[in-house]
Amino acid sequence: MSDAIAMPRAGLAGTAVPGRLGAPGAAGVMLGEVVPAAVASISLRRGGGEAARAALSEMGLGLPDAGRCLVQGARTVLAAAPGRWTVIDEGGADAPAMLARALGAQADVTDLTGSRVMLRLWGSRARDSLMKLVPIDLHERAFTAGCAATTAAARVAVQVWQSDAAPVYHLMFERSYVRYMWGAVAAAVVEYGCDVKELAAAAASRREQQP
Amino acid sequence: MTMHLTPSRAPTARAAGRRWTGGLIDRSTTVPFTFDGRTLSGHPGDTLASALLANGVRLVGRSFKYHRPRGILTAGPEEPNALVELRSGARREPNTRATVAELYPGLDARSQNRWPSLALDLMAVNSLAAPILHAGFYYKTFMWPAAFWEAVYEPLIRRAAGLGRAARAVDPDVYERAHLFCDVLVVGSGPAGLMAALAAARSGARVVLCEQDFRLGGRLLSETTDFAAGDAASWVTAAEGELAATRTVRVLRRTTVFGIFDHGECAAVERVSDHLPEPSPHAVRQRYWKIVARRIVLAAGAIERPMVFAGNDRPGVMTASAVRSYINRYGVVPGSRAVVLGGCNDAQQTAEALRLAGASVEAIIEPHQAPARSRDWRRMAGARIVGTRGRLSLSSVEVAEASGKRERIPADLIAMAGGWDPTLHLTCHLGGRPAWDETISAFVPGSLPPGLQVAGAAAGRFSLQAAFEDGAREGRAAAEAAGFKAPAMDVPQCRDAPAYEAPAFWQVEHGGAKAFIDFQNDVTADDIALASREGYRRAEHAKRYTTLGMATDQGKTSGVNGIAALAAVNRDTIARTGTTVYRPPYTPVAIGAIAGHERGRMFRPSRLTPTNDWAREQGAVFVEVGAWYRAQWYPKPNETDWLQSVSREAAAVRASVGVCDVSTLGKIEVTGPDAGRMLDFIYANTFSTLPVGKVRYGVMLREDGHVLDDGTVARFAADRYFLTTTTAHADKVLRHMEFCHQVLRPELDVSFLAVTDCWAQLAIAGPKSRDVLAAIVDGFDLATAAFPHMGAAELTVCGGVPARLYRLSFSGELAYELGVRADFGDAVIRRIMAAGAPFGITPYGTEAMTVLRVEKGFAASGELNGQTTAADLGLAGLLSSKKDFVGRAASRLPALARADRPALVSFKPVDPQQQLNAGAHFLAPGARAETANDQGYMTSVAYSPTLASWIGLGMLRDGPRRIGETVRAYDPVRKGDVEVIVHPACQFDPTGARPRV
Repeated sequence: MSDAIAMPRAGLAGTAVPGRLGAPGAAGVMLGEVVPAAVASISLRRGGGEAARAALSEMGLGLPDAGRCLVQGARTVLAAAPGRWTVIDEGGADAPAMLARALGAQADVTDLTGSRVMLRLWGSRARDSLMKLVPIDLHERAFTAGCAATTAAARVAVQVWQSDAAPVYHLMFERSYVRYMWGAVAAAVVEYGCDVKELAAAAASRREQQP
Repeated sequence: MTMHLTPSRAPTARAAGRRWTGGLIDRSTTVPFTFDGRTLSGHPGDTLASALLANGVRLVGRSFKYHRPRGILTAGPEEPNALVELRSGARREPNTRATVAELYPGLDARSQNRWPSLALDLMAVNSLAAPILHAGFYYKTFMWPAAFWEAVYEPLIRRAAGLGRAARAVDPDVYERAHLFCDVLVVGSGPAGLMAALAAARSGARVVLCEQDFRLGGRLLSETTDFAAGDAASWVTAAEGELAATRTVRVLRRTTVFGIFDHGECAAVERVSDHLPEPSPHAVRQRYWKIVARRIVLAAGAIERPMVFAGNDRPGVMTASAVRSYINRYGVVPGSRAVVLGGCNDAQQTAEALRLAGASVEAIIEPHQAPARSRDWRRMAGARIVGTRGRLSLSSVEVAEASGKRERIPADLIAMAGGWDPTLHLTCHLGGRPAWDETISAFVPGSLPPGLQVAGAAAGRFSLQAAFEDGAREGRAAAEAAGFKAPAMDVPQCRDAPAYEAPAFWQVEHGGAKAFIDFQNDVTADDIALASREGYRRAEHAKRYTTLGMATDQGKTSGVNGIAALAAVNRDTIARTGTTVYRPPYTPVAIGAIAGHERGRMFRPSRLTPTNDWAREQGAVFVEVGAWYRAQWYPKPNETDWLQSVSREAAAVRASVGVCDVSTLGKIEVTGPDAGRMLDFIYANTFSTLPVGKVRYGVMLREDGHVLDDGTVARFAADRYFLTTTTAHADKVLRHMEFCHQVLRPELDVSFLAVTDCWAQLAIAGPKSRDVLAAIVDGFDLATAAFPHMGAAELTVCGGVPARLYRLSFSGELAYELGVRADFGDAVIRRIMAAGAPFGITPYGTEAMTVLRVEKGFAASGELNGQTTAADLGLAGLLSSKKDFVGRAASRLPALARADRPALVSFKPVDPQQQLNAGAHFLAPGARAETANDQGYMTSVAYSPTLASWIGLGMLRDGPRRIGETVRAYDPVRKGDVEVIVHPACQFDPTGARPRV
């Protein structure tokens, strides 16, 4: 029976479609789902800090401080909790295995691919929209490119980070909440008019699902 | 829009209500609106109150208790009388203060508390009963008989109580919440607030300025005071412009800061669309702002106090500041023949404003002997008002001169200049108590909450000059305290600003007529005296007894007069009489604004399993389990009730194979060199000995020895375990584990990661489950020899989908739980259905799952209810005696180890078709149904198609030793009373042979 290869499903599949959301006219917000090739969690073992950093730096990665993220090419590393980071790779699917190999006994790597929904928001009113969702200070003096937070949006645990000064924000949450969270995100952006974009990775994922 | 802040100086004698030139209204546009069905018109810039006055409408409502005619008393949010119902249908909103309701085209307002009409209110007969409707009437009257409390008195009181009618339909509008952070929050945009905002903004601090009005300026909009920097209008415009041009400043108009909480957190409500007929598409009606500020400058101004005299509630009696607001800001003259009451600058200013507006000022009544300062006016020093006349609004004033001579002065307006009370409400929200300041005869802010500063009138400094100076000083201080360098700033100099003279005037002899202290709650001076006589002598007690300062008023207009009256009858000082304090909200806040989007389906977060869309395609009926939506059963077209579907699904699993989404189970990845030791400590049984590639059932206890949760633990490497929790306890268990690690065993090197959303977890159960699975695994040997009962493995399925497989059974059949990456869940369930088609694979929901596990006697949430021990559940054998674990000591307490505790057994009704109810209590046959005879309770029930009978699980006292006995399952709530026979917990395949094949 396992003749054809089964394909993953984007988080927003069945929930949102590309197009205009809310007010007409120039869109204040652009929004799209990023479907990363891999997501992994790194949990540092006791005394593993120095060696783990050294191992990661060979891969061109680092472990950002609390409240920070590092964006290196297609890879983003988020500080998630004390001693814990989330790695997002928009490029290759082998990141969890590579990380596990590189880190060895210094840290445990757990594959989280497919378990999170990651939204990218940008545009002139992206910050205003996000202010309705997360109870943290997003002002340019407090939250800049390279900042990350683990917080709550509409009572759901989220990771939020800013990857670009433009600003470009990302919001990531557990997959099972996607329909509820889409309601919350849509409610936050309709006032400004939002273009829901089909980002490259999501588009690929959806295309592959066609029979 | 043409704006003139300073009214024209050319007086034109007109009748009351008509507009002259001037005011901040746009006469070029007409705004039609209706009041009690009458079509009227106003202009942009009007409030409903100013527009009503402009149309000569003076009677706007009936009072709460006595149904007395009431008019407009104030021009601000403190208005106690002019409460109207705004809008209609689903948007109908009662008790809207006409003084803050912005006029919009088509505004539809109705008066309240009258029947059949405002002018002819038959309920006004209450006035005739007034002698018995005194304070405390309800407390004294509705005492006995007690049987009447619920049946008679409560419905009666409820019908009589309340003001206005809430909409019955669902609110069609949308509300939202947003979060704002700043260095300096300035509350109020009068002269003090604007100065504070400018001072803080110039330092570079992030400033938020909130103004409850739709226009910045505060009292500057309503007074004609000139100052050296030019006229007020240009100064406000310049300040507004500077703030708008500063990137770090956010000005929120129509926004009331209504509460202060800990750590600089403030709550504010922005009325985004209340000034529109309805919100524009995609706009919210109101927005709740959570504002976190490092410093707060309260510049909320002050509220003018009414004065207490006989008949002071008649329409046409207004505060003097309101009279000036209507004239100067709204271009409306609220009366043509006015009497001004009060011996202070405010009275003088008001008389001048009225005269400029073309009204005739009949007299200035100065209750206390004071030297006349002007020959322009008829001053009646030492006189007092002893009564007012007029059926529906004021027509004349009865004045007694100092000599005792009485005079009736025809007048349609009384302007009361009773002195000012600082708007200090926010200073009390964290427990601060106002302090009495004798020099200004007002309460001023007492101890301030951390980070809060008060400026201008809110601090009891009432002159314009003081407001400017305070604002500049406090704004700079706030910015400096937040770490900014605030430059010095020029303070506008006011011309001949007179010092504030406090009118220490509380009430006059009023004879038998009613002199109101609290207009909104119909509390009179006599009620206060009665409260004092009956022993309610402290401000707080008198408030409860008389209802003084309740509802929207919250003491804004009534507080100080009430306390003063109480002090007078107590023959005590105001300072010693005390004050009530304020709590949020400062003004009424719609519940919708607090709820935001959290209503309907968005009331709380919901979660969907990876197969949700597929299950919907199958027509599944869903049930909410915590946040999750789970497929409950999958009805077939020919099935007429749920029991048919559920029985079919359960039978299919026993006969062939079924598939069930169990992704909602909590899943936690436990990693690290000490993972095994940590699990040994958290679970009652041992996991450090679990071989890699195996899964084991486990139970964890609370510290008090009761069962916290159960589940399975699989080991995938020496330092990597994967455990499942029950759906209900997923969060609680992870929290518990983190606590155990961080607090009890911090020396262990281990981490926990919630991975619930990583896995689409599918139970494939039934004699044919192996055959189905064989069709989708990528070359994995499923034979028992290779993969025995309680085996666990990592593999791929469906051509490379990463998966974990567990051979474990919650159904009593040969069964597997297959975990695949969540984003493959939808694809894999479809593959499983295709692979299982030859075997008639049946998707089953939570109900069939319950049938299967009740047949097997497996505990679930009904049994893991926080009151049961491992022994109660028949799991005593799991408690390790070789190690310490959480709950071990308590589980050995005599009370938990007693043999006759209710313990898990199963039940069958004597008549197999009799339905059982979970929650039924067990009684010995013939025993009276009372608590003393209670022997336990039913925890789960199901209809078993296999056993052709209803069956149940329950906790029965000494149950395992009573197999074969008959007991009553008594359920008075659902009128169930069924004889049941006690069976061992497991009624199906007691040897457990079937899963091992």
